[in-house]
Amino acid sequence: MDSVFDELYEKYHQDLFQFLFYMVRNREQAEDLVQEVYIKVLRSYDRFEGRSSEKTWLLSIAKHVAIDFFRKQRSFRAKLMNAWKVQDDKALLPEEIAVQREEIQLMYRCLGNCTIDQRLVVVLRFIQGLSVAETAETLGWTESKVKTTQHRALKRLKQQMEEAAKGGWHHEKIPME
Amino acid sequence: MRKFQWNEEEMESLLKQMPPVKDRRSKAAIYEQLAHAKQPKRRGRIVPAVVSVAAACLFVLIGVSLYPSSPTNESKKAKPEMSMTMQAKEVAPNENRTMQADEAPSFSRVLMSGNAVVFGLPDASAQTVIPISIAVEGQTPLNEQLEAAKAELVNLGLDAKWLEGVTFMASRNNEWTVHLSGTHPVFSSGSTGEEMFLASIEETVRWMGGTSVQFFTDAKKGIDLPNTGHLETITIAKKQRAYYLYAPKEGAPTLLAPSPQSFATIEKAFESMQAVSGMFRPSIAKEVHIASVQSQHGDLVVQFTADSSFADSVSSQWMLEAILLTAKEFHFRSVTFTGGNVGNIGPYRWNEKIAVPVAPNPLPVH
Repeated sequence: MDSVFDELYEKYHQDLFQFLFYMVRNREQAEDLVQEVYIKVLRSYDRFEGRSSEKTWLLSIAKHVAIDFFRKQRSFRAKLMNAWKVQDDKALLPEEIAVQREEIQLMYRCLGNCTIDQRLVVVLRFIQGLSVAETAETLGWTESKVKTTQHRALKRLKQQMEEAAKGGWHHEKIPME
Repeated sequence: MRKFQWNEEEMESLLKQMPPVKDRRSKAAIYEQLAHAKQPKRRGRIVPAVVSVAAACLFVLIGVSLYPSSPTNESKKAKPEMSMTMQAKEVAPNENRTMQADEAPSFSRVLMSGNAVVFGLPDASAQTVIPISIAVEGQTPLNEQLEAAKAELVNLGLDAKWLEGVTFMASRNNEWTVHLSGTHPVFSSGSTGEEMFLASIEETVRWMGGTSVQFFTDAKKGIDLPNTGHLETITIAKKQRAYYLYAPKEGAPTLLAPSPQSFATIEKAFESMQAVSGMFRPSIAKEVHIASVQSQHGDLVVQFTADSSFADSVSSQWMLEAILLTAKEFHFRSVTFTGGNVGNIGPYRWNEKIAVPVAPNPLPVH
């Protein structure tokens, strides 16, 4: 086994996987994308200059992979397929989420309604636990942009949560994946 | 007690409580998949580098399509005074008549010869992108062609604004660059607008024979789309598409629209042309049955069953044109229609090789 892979896996694999999972909200897609991240990382590892931390470098590559995935998703084929899958998407929750209390389930569903930028910030800041500075480094943004996007994301999530709550979300029975 | 309101701190707290989600695969399994996946993808990795190099090379502003003319347009042999007889079986009495084919060519949805510029344009409701072609004579800049055609495109229910002020340039290796200004409407168009813009660019470059696109905003490399993120290059995916019928808006003329998906075989593409539903309409009527499809040295022989029933000449002509365009997608040079107890439909004669069209949906559209 490649020693670089071995080391990266031990240090960062679950973080990378979790980041991609919450971005694409699909276990199988996250599995495929984390493979892509490793392929990119292993090819460019020699060129890693250590200007940023290894973790933010890896996450920035994962970010590019996720954005590329979303771009492909927005092809018309995917758009059509997604239109047909709306019902499934609403009905199914991953096992880890489905066993959580309703507020957490609702938050997971509302995350899907954020823009990609907003989701990036929310996942990095609150689920990955990165600081504003680390998030800015990962995304290649200014700290000010991170803060603004974070503010908008939380506002949007709050609005979505409250609308869903008023709409009777607590009455829904959400089956497991 | 259930909550109906949250403050910002509570929102942050909830997000921090999102459960950890772990990859259930073992390290060894991931490494094995990685080792397996690394080989075939290596070749593809060269492309972005090539694009970057190409960007530094000499670009040639292309104003007309790279598509060559179809010098052997065998369908030209069809004479305007030809007529077709409708098949009696399963056709209503008032439709069981001899139709004059000389009306049909004006409703053609394909350009059979010459040169064309093809634009991929979204419909006004942003559901799909339709390729529209403009026959060109001489070296007319693409943007001028678009400007001249704009009013007509709006009447057709298509949205031309995404390609306004966009400059397409080609290098020698079918790698294209697209330049736009920082004030282009795509930057404030939302996620759907961004999607439509990218799809329009992809479709336009696809018809130019391009394999990739590199973006520049003003003089800066890449585009920063608020929802999509930073994009420098897109690769034009190779696709083999079917063609369906599509009316962009109520009362607008019917156009031929490529399928969003690619098909492995032309048989599968034809099946979808009969079965498609939703925003598209089938281009092959359910009363028409294809008995066999054979490839003969670049010619596709499509044989209809004897019990096939062809509807009115216009929709039957569009069916043949959809088949011709689909054959072009699968790299056939010509199509021969046989069977079905028909001598010709519109200008298309049976048992003769018909060269695949140059482009779909030529303007003006009637």
